[in-house]
Amino acid sequence: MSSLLLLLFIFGVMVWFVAYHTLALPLTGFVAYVLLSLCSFLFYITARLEGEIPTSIILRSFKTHKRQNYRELCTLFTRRGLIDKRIGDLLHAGLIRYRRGRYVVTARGHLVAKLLFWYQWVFHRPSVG
Amino acid sequence: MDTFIVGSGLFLFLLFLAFQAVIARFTDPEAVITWLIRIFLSITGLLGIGFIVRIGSVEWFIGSFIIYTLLTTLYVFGIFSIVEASITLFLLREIDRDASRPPSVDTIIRRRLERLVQSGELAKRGESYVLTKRVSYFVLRERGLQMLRWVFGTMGA
Repeated sequence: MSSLLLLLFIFGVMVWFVAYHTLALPLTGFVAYVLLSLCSFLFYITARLEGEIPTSIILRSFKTHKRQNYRELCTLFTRRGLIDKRIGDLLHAGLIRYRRGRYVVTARGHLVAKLLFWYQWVFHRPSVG
Repeated sequence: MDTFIVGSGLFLFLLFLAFQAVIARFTDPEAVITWLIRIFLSITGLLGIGFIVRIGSVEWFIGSFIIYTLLTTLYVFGIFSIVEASITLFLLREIDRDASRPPSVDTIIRRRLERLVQSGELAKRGESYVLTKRVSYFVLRERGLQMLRWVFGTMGA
């Protein structure tokens, strides 16, 4: 599906090249098309999120149980769905690796962590996640 | 005109980021969504004023607004949203801080419940949590995700 979306995007770029000289605002049109495509792709990827999303699960659980304590809410989750799957994603993305019984952040992972730190500092956000 | 439109849209988006960075230092972090909306509308108003005083044409106004809106949408859903709510990134930061072991399920659930209480989604009554009617970032994101899954959910991977 991702390949199909990419092919569709490239097709759109080719159409733009062909129609370039007929467009009143070709640069604006191209930039708007690229941004719209990125938005579509972003929303598509967001919809395919896997793993347990705590907020969704917690809020949904209140539809059937109006009042819950902490222990009851914890039973909604598994370590596998909440943590292991995400650790697997980080390993797969090369941001961490498993070495001598512990997880180690790679150089790429350090870069991402550093970017997050700077983003939080610039935009005064209290924490990540 | 073409370059002016794209440049204006980009400039407005950078202005949006600058306002967010400044205003965030003087406001409640939990009110961030409200302030993002206010900043977006204020800058749109500035664009409108620019159109009224004839800085640019109708094409300039519409084109700049479209590019500014798309850039802001990409930022809010692609960067802001992910940084705010991603547990994967939280795990990465925690492992970066202390590599001995990742956080526990307990830590993650407690953090999320604290944020839901702070944002007003949940209220704590003694030892129990109850749902409030307040709509905040997490509920909006959840409803947005449900809609996206409905739109894209039947398509193959």
